[in-house]
Amino acid sequence: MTLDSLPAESQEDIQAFLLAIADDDFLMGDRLMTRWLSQGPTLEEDTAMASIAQDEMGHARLWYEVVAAQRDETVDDLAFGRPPATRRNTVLVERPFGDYADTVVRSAIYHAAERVLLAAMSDGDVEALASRADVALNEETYHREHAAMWLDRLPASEEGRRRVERAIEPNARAAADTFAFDSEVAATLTAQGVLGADVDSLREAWAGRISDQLGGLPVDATPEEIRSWLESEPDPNGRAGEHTDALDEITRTHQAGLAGRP
Amino acid sequence: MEDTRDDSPTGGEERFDVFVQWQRGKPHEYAETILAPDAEMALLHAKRNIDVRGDPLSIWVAPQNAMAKSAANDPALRPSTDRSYRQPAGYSAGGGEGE
Repeated sequence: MTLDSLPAESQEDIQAFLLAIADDDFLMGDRLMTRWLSQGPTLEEDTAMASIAQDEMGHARLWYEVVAAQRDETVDDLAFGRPPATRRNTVLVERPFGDYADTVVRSAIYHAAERVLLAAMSDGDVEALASRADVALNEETYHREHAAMWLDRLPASEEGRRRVERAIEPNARAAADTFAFDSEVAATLTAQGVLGADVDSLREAWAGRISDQLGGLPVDATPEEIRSWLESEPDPNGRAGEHTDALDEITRTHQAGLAGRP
Repeated sequence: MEDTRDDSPTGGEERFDVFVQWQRGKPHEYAETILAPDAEMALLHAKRNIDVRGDPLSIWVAPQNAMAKSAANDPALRPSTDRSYRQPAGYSAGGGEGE
């Protein structure tokens, strides 16, 4: 079925969801690019991060385009022009990156969530969204492999192990809002076939998978503990429009850039 | 949080040569040299670096120090006598006596 054939009263909820996942990708790409471009630990990692960041920007565009076509707005308006209070991204992606282990742990958590959401859209009934989800899913394999390979390798040294360990709890807690969509929005997504599964089952699949992956590392945190952080009460909840000061700072940077545009 | 930008994440990268086959039946050709902690990670980087440039069929990586390489201007690679008689072009095909 097409997006336009869905009932008018569900369009707002669907747009809210699409903007939320677009904001996720857009801010993840922005953070990766601004933190690691020309600052990567090796040239190879530098290009890998830039490449992943560009993929994320491309995924953001996929969803902004759908919303922009429905409203009388441009992709740039949606990406750069919206104030923090209207953003619905997870706070996981807005926090500034620390070291490489922090980036790798956050990437693993983020890409695992993205995969679950995209796969559910791919299984959904709305063709325009399912086909776009397939395009993004195709690129996500590399993102997950990259993070997984570093998770396996960083703990090879004691320093790397310690850095991975300290990155897990703050990132897992910040990710607790990833599936905390407004309950009405979540109900619409399943009822209208935007997602081929309900949001709660997606959250379970994601929390189970990522807590096993991270808890299987030689770190002082069990899969059960990690799962409890991922499933804790989100504070703040980005899906409800609650954000950290970091998002204000990113927004100021974007708006200064826009003001300088000819 | 500490800044790690001067540190390599594992502290032990090595050089890998990357070879790409672009067409079926054609040889793999040298494409680039990359740094990685091991072969698996080298292949991940190589696949990504190469696939954004074209449509490769297959990619190999090999640690540079695992390959024996001839020296530049190795005299053994330069023929000392005229070897043109070894070229097939030196022989005519057919049309000889008795035919």
